[in-house]
Amino acid sequence: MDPLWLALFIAFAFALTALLAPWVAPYDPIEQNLSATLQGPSWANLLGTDHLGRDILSRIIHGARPTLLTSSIAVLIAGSLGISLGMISGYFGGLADALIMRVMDFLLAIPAILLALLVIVILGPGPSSAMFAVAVVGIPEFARLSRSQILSLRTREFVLASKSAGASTTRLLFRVLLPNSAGPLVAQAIVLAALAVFLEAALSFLGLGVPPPDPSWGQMVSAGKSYLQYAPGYSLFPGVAIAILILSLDVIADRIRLHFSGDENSITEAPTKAA
Amino acid sequence: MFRSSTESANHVDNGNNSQADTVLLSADAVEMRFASRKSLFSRSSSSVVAVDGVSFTLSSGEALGLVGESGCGKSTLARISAGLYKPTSGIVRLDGKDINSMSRKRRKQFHRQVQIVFQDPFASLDPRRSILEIITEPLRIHRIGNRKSQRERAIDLLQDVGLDEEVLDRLPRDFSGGQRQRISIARSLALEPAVLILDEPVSALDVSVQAQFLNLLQGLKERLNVSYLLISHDLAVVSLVADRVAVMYLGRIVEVGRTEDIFTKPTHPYTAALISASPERSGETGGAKRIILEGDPPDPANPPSGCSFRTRCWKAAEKCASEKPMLVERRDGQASACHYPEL
Repeated sequence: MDPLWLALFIAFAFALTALLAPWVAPYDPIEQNLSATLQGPSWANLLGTDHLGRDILSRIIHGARPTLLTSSIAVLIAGSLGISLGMISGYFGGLADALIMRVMDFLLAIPAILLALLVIVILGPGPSSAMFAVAVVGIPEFARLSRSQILSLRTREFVLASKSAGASTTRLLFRVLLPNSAGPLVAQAIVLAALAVFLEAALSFLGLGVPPPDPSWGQMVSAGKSYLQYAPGYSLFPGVAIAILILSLDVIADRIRLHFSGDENSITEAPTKAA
Repeated sequence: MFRSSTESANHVDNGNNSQADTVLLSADAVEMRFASRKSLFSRSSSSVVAVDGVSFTLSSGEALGLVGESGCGKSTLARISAGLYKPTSGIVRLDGKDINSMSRKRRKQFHRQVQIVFQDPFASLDPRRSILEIITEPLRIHRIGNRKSQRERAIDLLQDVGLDEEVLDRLPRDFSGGQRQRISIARSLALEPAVLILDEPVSALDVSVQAQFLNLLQGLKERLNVSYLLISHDLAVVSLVADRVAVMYLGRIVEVGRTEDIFTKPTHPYTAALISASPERSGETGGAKRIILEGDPPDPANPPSGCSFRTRCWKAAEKCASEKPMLVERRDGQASACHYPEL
């Protein structure tokens, strides 16, 4: 079976679960049961319980929420800012281009986790800071991608044709250039979503994300560290959830990129109909 | 609608018939210089002069052909005339007004009157849009009509170029080169422009399709009274449609005049060579021997001193190296830039 279908299914299942968490989860994620702590998987608790007796499955289900929220918002912010900067850079060139690209190069030179931490240090810990941190990490690649798309498209004849018909710069940018650059940008959005899952987990692991008792995957992995010998499931299950989601998103992103690089926008494409 | 007439411009130098023609589009000593750094490490930059002081006039209802080898600057000149590039010096005028110092509003009006059709049919249509959207885009930009009237106009335009209504909802990738060029023409006529600039419109088409296409152009010109600036490296193409022809070499116009005059009595050696190289036309110069030019065109970044054609010219003399020939009127309506023209 084509892995793409599995990946899509997983991604959608995750999103759905996150949205419908209160109805899907068997138990209240913060309800403690101190008489049944660190239990292994059983019929009562399919994935076991944590050190406070809370159901791990329910916590994983609810933990999908901050992950979904952070990725979506981060991709949205990084996408709109990054693509805009890239368009300005690519279309207008000159000083604006030089400045913007130098800043982007600087951001790209810093490893993602460090950059995210830097932002957290400035903004203070918490779920919204995590969103901005991931957004900042994601902006430069969007800028570079959209810039290179614009650069290669702006001298194409169909763009010049619109220009010679009197199209304004805004129209050229948003109605002609952007739609024709969409493919690789969509792929990048999904790549960033995968990275966002990872970064959010990392930040939560470090205690800089969602504060307890609300569950988040990274934080669960961190809390489970101390009990790896007796109850490995505590860290393992959320860890597996993180890995599966990232893998699925990457498979999807890869497919999208492949689809768009065998370019339907290529000038040398042969017509499908004879003269 | 907006074809305003203007007083005849003074155009002694380029062989225009001064009988009360209204000059629509004109270029005045237009120069386009592209700067390029010699290498990644050099600090100095050499410049390529793609268009070197070109002047021409295009009158109402007239077709002016522009011929020359690849790299002679004709496409650059076309784009400058269409307002897509700003020349490094010189002025392009529409109805007597400098197009590059127009207000934004006036500039938009300019675009309604001057349209351009490009060479590559596979790159000149937005691949993501339907033919309807492509053709009506100029109408939407200038807010002419509503959805319904725009669609009707698109159908009329398609009819003008010999295509059927069912083409409207399809995408460019469904069509051949010849069909795409027709669509490009349909789009360019949407605003009823006074001037249509055609940059090598048939070069990418099969020979059999070329003839059809040129007939279409000829028909449209007569019916719609559009002026053409027709650019091609192919003399035969130009001779079919153009009333006057200008010959370009390395960024300069070396000869200009009425089509019949240029082809039967060329005064510039380059023109003569071009004609003798074209199989259909060489008979008209009285069976003159085939002229074969030696060498390659010089590097535009480093052109020869004086007359840039002298390195390939069999008549070249001392004067040609020291003095740049100016475009001078030889016979009624015909001018060339040569120190030793064939009269």
